[in-house]
Order: sequence, then C-alpha cells, then structure tokens
Amino acid sequence: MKLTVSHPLLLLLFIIFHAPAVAVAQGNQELFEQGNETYSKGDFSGAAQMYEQLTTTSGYSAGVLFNLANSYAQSGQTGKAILNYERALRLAPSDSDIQGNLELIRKESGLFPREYSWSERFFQLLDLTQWTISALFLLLLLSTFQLASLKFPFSSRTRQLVSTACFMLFILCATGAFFRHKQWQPSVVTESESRLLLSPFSSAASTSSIQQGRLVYPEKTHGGFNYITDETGRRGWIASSAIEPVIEIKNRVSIQ
Amino acid sequence: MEQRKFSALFICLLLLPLFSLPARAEVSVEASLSSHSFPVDSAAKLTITVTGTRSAEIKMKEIDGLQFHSQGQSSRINIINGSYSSAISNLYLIQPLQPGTYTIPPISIIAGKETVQTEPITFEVTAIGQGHQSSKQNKSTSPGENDVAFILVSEIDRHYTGEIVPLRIKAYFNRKYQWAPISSPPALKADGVVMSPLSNEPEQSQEQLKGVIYHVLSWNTTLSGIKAGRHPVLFELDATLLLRQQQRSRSPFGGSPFNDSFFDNFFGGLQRKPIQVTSPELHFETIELPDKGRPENFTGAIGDFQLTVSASPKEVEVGEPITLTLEIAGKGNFDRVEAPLFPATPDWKTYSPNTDYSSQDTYPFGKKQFEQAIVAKNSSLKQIPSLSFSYFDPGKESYITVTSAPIAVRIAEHDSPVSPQQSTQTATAVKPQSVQPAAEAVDGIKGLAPLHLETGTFYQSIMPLYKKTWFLAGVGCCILLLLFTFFFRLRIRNLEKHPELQLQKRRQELLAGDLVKLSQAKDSGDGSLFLALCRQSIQKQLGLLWQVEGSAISLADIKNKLGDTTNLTEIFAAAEQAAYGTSELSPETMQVYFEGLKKELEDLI
Repeated sequence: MKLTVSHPLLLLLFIIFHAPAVAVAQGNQELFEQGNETYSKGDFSGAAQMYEQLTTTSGYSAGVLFNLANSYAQSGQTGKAILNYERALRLAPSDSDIQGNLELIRKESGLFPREYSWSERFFQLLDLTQWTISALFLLLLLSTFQLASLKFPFSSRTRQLVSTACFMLFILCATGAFFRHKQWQPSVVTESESRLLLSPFSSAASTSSIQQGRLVYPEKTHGGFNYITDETGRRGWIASSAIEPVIEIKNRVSIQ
Repeated sequence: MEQRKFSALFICLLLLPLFSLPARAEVSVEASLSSHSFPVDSAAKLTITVTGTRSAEIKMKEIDGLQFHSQGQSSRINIINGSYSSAISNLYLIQPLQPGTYTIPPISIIAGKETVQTEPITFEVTAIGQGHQSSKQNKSTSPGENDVAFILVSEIDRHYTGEIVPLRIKAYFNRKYQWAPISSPPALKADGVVMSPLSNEPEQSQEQLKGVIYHVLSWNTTLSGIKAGRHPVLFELDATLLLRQQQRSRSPFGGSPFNDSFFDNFFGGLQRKPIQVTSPELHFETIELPDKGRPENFTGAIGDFQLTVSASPKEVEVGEPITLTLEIAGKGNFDRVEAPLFPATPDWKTYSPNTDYSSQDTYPFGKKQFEQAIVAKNSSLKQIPSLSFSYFDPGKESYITVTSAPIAVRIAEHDSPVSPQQSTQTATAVKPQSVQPAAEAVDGIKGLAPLHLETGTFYQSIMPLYKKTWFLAGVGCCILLLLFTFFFRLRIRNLEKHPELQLQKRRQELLAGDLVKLSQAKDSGDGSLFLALCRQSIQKQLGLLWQVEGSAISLADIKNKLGDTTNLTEIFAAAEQAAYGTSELSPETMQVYFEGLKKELEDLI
C-alpha cells in the first residue's frame, strides 16, 4: 500500500524541485535560439543584447560567449568581441572556432602581438589547462610508480631514472602553468580612442593611445584609473571604465 | 792678491746674517679668520702668522663645538739692507659642529724664550638653512670667495603646459677644497613639473668667478609643466667635502718626519663631511594652451614640427598593402606627437602604425617616424589622401596644422579576391606595434566561424583548472601517496641499515608466541608440557641471541655464559630433568617459573 502511494509522491517531489531548473534551461535555450535568429537577420547589436542578457541571468557558457563575441565582431566592437572570445576560450580552450575567430579579429584589427622569446613561444605551445593537466598526470605517474616500486622490485637505476624524468617533466609543466597563469587574467580595452596617461588623473599627459581590443594587465588602481602593462610592454595609467577584466568576479546563479 | 780680497769679501757677506741675528726683530704674532660668519656646513680658515722667529710652538686650545684641522705651515725669510727678518704662517681649517657664537681665546706661541699671544677672535656660525638662504642670494647673482659649492641654473620664462623647456644646470665646487666624486646628479624639488633624467656623466670644466676657481659640472635637461600655475623649483645635490683630520701641533723644524700634509693624505687622514648643495629657488610659471582655434586632431604637441609623408610601393594590386611612412621632425615634446590619422574611408583598410623615435644631440630636437600599412579596396583609387598634423607653436602663440600633399598611386585590379587573412599576412611584414587606433572595421568581419547552436554548460564563474575541487583532491591524493611511499621506504631502509632491530623484533614476536603457549600450559596444569615449552623457548631465544642453533644449547652452555644462579639456569635445569624423567610441578611453581622466565627473557631482548 505504501509503495503505491510513495511513487507518485516521489514523482511530485522530483517535479517540484526540478521544474524551475527545467523551465530556466528551456528559457535559456529559447533566448539563445532567438539571439541566433536575430544574428542571422543581420541585427548584430540586437543579438548581442540577447546573449548579454543570457550571460547576466544564467552565467557563462562557451557557446553563448562565442556567439556574443561574433555579434560584437560583426557590429564593429572589437574590444567587446575580443573580451568574449577570451572568456569563451577559458571555458573551451581547445575549441578551434573560438581560436580561429580570435586570431582573425586580432589580425583584422591590426592587434599584432610583440615578438616573443623562444622560451615564451615554448610555453605558449600549451594553454594553462593543458599545462595543469600535464602536471597532474606526471604527479600521478610519479606517485603511482613510487607505490608500485614498493611491490615490484625495480632496479635502483630504473627507479631513479623514471622518478627523475617524472619530476623534471612535472617541474617543466608547473613552470608552464605558472607562465600561462600570468596571462590568465588580463583585461581588455573595450573603449575606442583610449589613451595611456602619465599620471592617474584625466588631465595628465598622454604617453600614447591604446587600441581597442588590446590585452592589458592591471597592476594597481588609483581613483578611477588603473596602472597597466599592455601585451606589447607599454605601461601607463588608463581609465578603469575603458577596460574590462576577462575573469569577472561576481556572484551568479548557477544553472547546470 | 785681488782674488783673495774678493773671496774674503764674499765670505763676509755670507756671514753677515749670522752676525746680525742678535739684532733680529721682536717676536710678534697675528691671527686672522677668513670669515666671521659662516654656516655650520661650511668652514673658515684661521691663519696664525708669527714674525721675528724661525721656529715657534703653537699651543692650540680645544674649544667645544669646533674642530681645528691643520692645513700646513709656511715660512718666509726677508733680508733687506742687511736687516734680517723671518715669519712663519700656520693655517688651520675651523669646522663648526653646531651653530652659535664662538670666541677663539688668545693662543700662546712659544718662540725660544719668548711667549706671545694672539688677540681673541669672535665669529658666528649660522644654521644650514640660514646659511643657504643667505648664500642663495649671493649664489644666484654673485658667488663670493667663501662659497664652498653652489648650483646655478639658466633662466626660466613663462611657458605652456606640456611645453619642453631646455635648461642648463651647473654645479660649482670650490677648488680650494677637496671633494669626493658625486654619486648622483642634482634632484628636482618641485610639484607640477617634470624633468627629463639627468646624465650620470655631466660635462666637466673649470670656471673662475670673482677670482675663485671652481670645478664645474654641467647638465643639459628639459623641464615641462604638467599643470598650470606658478611652481617653485629647486635643485639639490648631495656632495661630500673631504677635510683633513686634526693633527697634533707641529714644530716647524723638529718633531716627527710624518708631520707633513703628504702623510695626512697618504695615510687616509681625510674626514668625509656630507653637504647638500642647493640652487636658488626659481619659479616656473606655466599656462594652459588656448582653447581658441584648437584643431580637432591636436594631440598636445607643442613646438615646431614638419610633416613628411611617403608611400611605397606606389603600384599595387587591390588587396596588396602599401607602407605609408609619416615623419614628423622638429623641436618640441615628441612624447605627445602621434601619427596623423588616416581619413576614415571605405576605400582604404588601415592598420595600426608602428613608431620609431630618434632624438638628436641637441634635445628637444628629434624625429618621430610612423610606418602604417594601408590596403586599397578598389582599383578606382588614384591617390593616397592627404594627412594632417596639428601642433601648437609657442613662438607664434597659435595652433598650426600642416598637411601633406596627396600621393599618386596606381591600383590594379586583382585576379582573385584577397582574403582578409592573406592581406593581413602581407601587412604583417610591416611589423606594426600599435600606438595609434587604426580605423575600425565597422562593416563586420568576413570569414568568422559560424554561430554555435548549443549553449553548452553554464558556469557560475570562470575559474582555472587548478582551483577546481577535483583537481585539488587529485593533487592532494598524489602528495599523500608520495609521502606514504617516502616514509615506508625510509622505514625499510632503516631496518636494512640496522639488522639488530629486525632481529629484536623477531625475538619479541617469538617470545610473545611462546609466552601465550606457556600460559596455556600453565593454566592446564600440565607440568611436563610447561617445562618442555620453557626449555624450547629458552633455547630459541638464546640461540638467536648467541647466533647458534637453539636446539644445540645445553645446560652447560647456559651455566657457562649466564652462571648457575639465574632463573633461566634453574628453569632450564628443571626442564632437562623433566625431559629425562618425570617432574610434577605445582601451579604455584609454574607461576613462579613463568614470571621468572618472562622477566629474564624480556631483559635479554
């Protein structure tokens, strides 16, 4: 008798707890498709607004950020486009569409990077996630081998060779991860005609202009200004309103 | 004969001063001070001149707040009309330790049997600030003989904010004193004014001002006001004066051979006295640039500039890049000179220019060159449009706009359309470094990958992998595993290194097992079994201890090694006896044997 009652009850509880999530997910999908439709009609600004709304209410997803970046790119907002490609790339680092579009828009906008040294080029072979995963894999390999060597009688030479190789590679991967981590949290210049200033006030002398879409690394803040180093190595103060961080720190409602 | 007379006369003339010695002048002394008012970071010269003697002992007295540094002695002999006189001059440098009014009391000079005294001398030592204030006034116009060091700067008139103003700074160091090499150039003390960095290798020369010779260090630099107003400007330079250490009083002809200034220097008898040299306070007045007539493309350049524009190649196909070279040369604040903006037009695609600045020897003259890649979008274009650059000329007090002439080009039609990637790759050859906003492509970008049709998973925030829980748990497990294997291996190695520990452990295990069996036999009341187990246990433990086969150990061996009176010997003897006969043991005896055996064997372990 109890069993026959509990089945509908469980079903009801399941519906009560999951219904809002399902409804939100459906709403997200509808808004997303609506954005895609608006984009295909050529209304890129309208599409961007819908994707922005989706991001604000539901959080970050690689698909939404990618489409948002495309919308900004097509509407000529290079800075915003690069910002969202960078964000999408952090969620899906191996997505070739994101990589390709980001590279294309940077080239189209003349945002050429500086010449990198050979060591920098080496560490750029993998992204932060790949270096981190590699480091974890090597740590796991090292610990498993050490454990196995308690059971299986490897020769001392073999044990030393494998352990040293694993450790050295682990150090290399950790260095790579550290190097890439320094580039993990840049900001992007999103305002056109921004300028680098000598001092943190608006009437200060300008050292140079900085192009929309440039990656910059804020070091300190004073008033409404940030002291930054851009990807080409230039330094100066820039209005905080002219840049947006790739990794935004804010609380969001998580919808999985 | 004549020759003899001449020789006698010559000898008489030579001996004349000796005969006239008793008729020498009376001994007198005079003391004089080079300055009766000087700042505490300066010094004055005290000269004591004793006439009428060739040797004198000067009794210098110590005075609180003053240090006397002997600078040497000079002597003078005069023979006038057969009248002989001599004088000795002693020079001292007086270095005050604190401001105040000082009096040098009469100084006693002993010349032979005579003692003479100087007149007391009163002088004033002023504070550093007061000294500088007073000296500043002198220094700005006419440095005096007593100036140790000072700074002079060239005149500064009224200028515009951001204008580059050439300036020459000259630091004068009196050659009468010894100086340590300066460690840093003069520092600017001013608000609202910036100065270009000074060289660590200034020009060096010598100048004579009012009869005083100075060693002069000169720097050429520029000042620039960053906000309008009247800004007080002061330059400071840290220098080190080298003063001789105070020496004991000297006797002009006697005493130690080391009583010489040469040895003062040779043996490092110099004291380092840091002083701060300052310039007179100047006022740098800056005014804002006029709003009237300010061109839209004015970026803050002030000075006098010329614009030159060239293009290469001038015959290209549609989509091929042309390198536009924009050169702005002249005199002014090149930090605010930016590339002229290429006119926004759908006919041309532009890239950010790269910049190269080269200054000439005579700053602020220089040349800034921009290289910009431009791409023609259609073949109907006949010329590159003219470019404009605006600056403010402070001489004419007006804004000037210079415009380049259009450059004729021939654009041919391309057989196949050029993809954005291709054109960009070619343009990359210019290696632009962005300093200027390129014309934004407002007409969208062709060749973008299409939209994604799935949203994918939503995340609350973007976080790196190393901050995720599963990753941290994985790293934690690996580290624990490594630590476990490390300590386990350490333990194994420790046991291998100390085999006695392993043996001891084995003996403890064996004994524990034997004691259990003995206890069981004791509890069952089986005396024969109890004694047999006692015998086995003793043999096993002693066998391990003595490194022999346990079963081969006899009562005689035990007696030999442990003695007759031990519990073990007694128990083993009872067990031997029981093994070859019969033996009945009471429970009490078994308990006594059990405890005795346990204690003895545990002690052995």
